[in-house]
Amino acid sequence: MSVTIQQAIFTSAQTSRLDGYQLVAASNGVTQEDSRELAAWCPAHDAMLREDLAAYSVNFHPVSATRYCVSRTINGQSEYSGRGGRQIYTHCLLIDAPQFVQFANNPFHVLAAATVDANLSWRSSLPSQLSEIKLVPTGKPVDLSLFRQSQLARIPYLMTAWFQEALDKPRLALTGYGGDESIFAQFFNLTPVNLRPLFSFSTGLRYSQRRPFRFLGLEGNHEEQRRAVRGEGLSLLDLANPPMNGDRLRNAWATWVLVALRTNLPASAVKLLSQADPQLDALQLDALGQRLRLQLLSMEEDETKNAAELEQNDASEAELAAAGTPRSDAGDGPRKIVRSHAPHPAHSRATSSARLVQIAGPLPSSQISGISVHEQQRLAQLDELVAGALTGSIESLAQLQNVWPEIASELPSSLRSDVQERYLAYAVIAWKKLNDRRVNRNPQTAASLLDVLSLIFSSAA
Amino acid sequence: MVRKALVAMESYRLAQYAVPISCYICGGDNNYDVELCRHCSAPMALSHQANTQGIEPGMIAVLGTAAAGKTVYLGMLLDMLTRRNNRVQVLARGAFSITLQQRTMAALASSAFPEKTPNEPDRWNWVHCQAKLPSHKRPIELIMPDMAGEAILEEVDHPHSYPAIHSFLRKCAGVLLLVDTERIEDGSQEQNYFMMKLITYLSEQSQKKKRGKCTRPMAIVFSKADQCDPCFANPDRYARDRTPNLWQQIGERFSTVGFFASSVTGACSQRLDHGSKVNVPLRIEPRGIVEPFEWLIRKV
Repeated sequence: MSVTIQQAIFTSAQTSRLDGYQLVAASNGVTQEDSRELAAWCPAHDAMLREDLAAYSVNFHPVSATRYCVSRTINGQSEYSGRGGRQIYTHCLLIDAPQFVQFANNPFHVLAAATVDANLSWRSSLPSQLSEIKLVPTGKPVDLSLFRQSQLARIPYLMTAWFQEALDKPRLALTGYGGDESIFAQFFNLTPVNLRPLFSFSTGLRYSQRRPFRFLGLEGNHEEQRRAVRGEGLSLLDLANPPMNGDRLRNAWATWVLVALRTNLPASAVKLLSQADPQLDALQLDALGQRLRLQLLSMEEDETKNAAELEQNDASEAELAAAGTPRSDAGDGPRKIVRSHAPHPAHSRATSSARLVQIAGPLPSSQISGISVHEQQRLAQLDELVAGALTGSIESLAQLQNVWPEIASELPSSLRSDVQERYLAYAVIAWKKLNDRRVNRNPQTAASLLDVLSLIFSSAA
Repeated sequence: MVRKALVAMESYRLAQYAVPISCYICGGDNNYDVELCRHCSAPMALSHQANTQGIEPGMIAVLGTAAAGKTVYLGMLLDMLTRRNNRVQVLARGAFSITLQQRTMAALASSAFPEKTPNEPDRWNWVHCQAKLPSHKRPIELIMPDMAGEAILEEVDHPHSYPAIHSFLRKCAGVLLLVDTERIEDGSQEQNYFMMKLITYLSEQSQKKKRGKCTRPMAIVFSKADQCDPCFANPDRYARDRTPNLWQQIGERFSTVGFFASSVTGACSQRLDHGSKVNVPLRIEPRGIVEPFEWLIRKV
């Protein structure tokens, strides 16, 4: 079912009303208040970071309490007044909140649909009137393929730092992302659907106090970076060298993002993200991050099934879109997805345990007697995380920070002291063995050991 | 790795932040270390100068439609007045006050007009200067911003959309109103309507306190008048003949009005740049630049 959205063009032209930058054309549903807001937000002369004809900018911002604007800005021909410089041409798409939900509150989905169904390209003869556009909602709330892109190379750390700063600071100027706005699409993909409208952004525009975007993509323009940081309330985040806070200083949602992207369970993570409460409040994000992380850790064995489900849903949707017929349940069964780099669920735990034994001998959990099966399982989980943390895994340490207080609270105090002593002994042995294998001692190993020990001894106190 | 460090508490900074500094233009409160006012984007250097030097500069507004020639006029005016002359001498206050003059003259020297002024107030050039008349003992402190034409009209159409313009026009002591002679000669009515709107806006702002004619002096400058000899010969008559609405309105509403003609270039041509026409100044022959300003500061 299609939705109706409004459109407007803001550019420099000579019209009967005004010479210069103005809203030259708009559809009937654009109100006077909308026009005034657009005049404030839309970029005018010399607002683009780049002057070439290939440069463009994607922008998203609220227009009113219930209406949003997704716009694309490009460089047009030379200024009409003959003073040099290029005309800046912005095509705005205005969408009401209920319709925006159908696009999963994702401005990139709106833009993608409009690029297919509407004419967003530069026009030499500007129209005085525009008609409304009907768009067919596309895109999933959380896209698995985009999620997988976010798992590549350094992107998990970049996204973690971004979420950390985004949730702590009012406004961010982003640099070091090479002008690729798909990084913004990836950010939205990892944000709960109902919180997405909170994050207004622009890519490829110069800094201006008049346009209070929450995220301002400045690519690598050093002059604009200097201007931006002089502005009040704006912090600079270099995505080429994202700052990695200690795990204890990081908010739980940023840690969840890191765990979700670094754990090889994309289908399960996407499934969990898609199920976020539609009434979620920004203040609840920390608690949700903690909960999702724990849930994800318990979903290792369901990954193949989840991936198959997602793939089946995709296939069904594609089929529906192609044929325009209702879904048939009599189709083929779910296809089995084999991940090339993921361990088989039956062996994944064994692999970790083997690594742990390899580091420092018998597992601490196996040396404690007189405990229940549940406690045994919990301690085995602790073994996994400690092994990961000792070998420098940030995710394992992050998980350990949350899992250990839970386990410690479940254990009787005498048993808790025993566990602490076992891990202390284990850490000392691990330190010796790891150093015996190397010619030079690695201070990072000592730091990891101290982190684990301080966590296990302090959190339980 | 968990990092812990000792960070010195620079509590004196908190004390500095506790004392707000008012913007000289809009009066809004700001932190002591911001560069631009958070409310109107005017440079806070104006407030710092006013505070430290104990002066209260007057304000002169240079208004006009987009492409009326405000930037060129103001840049050329400052360049002429900062040179040694026998009429009015101007000294810039603060390095930021030189930028407009520098950009304008650099553009004209390379046979081009300066680029359009951006609409964003945080990118406007502001001039704070000290003007000295030979007949006056004490110099006059002045602030003159170079504002975008679209922004001025947007503020006139929708008051408070540009707080900097709103506050500035409310406080300014005199107005230099630039009318594009080229477009009047082309038969365009847009200049007429813009001027009428602006005059109404300015007079209503002033009449809040006092009924009758507005006493704020206003210099109407016909810019780009190099192609229009009648305008140079008698600007008053030109205004009466070619812009009767403006003549009528301003006579009714303002008591101190002067009409002037000015031009910066001797001749202009056009060149094609990527298929679009770009204006090229061929000779820089400033005429009638200083007179309106001199008249205005005498009246102020």
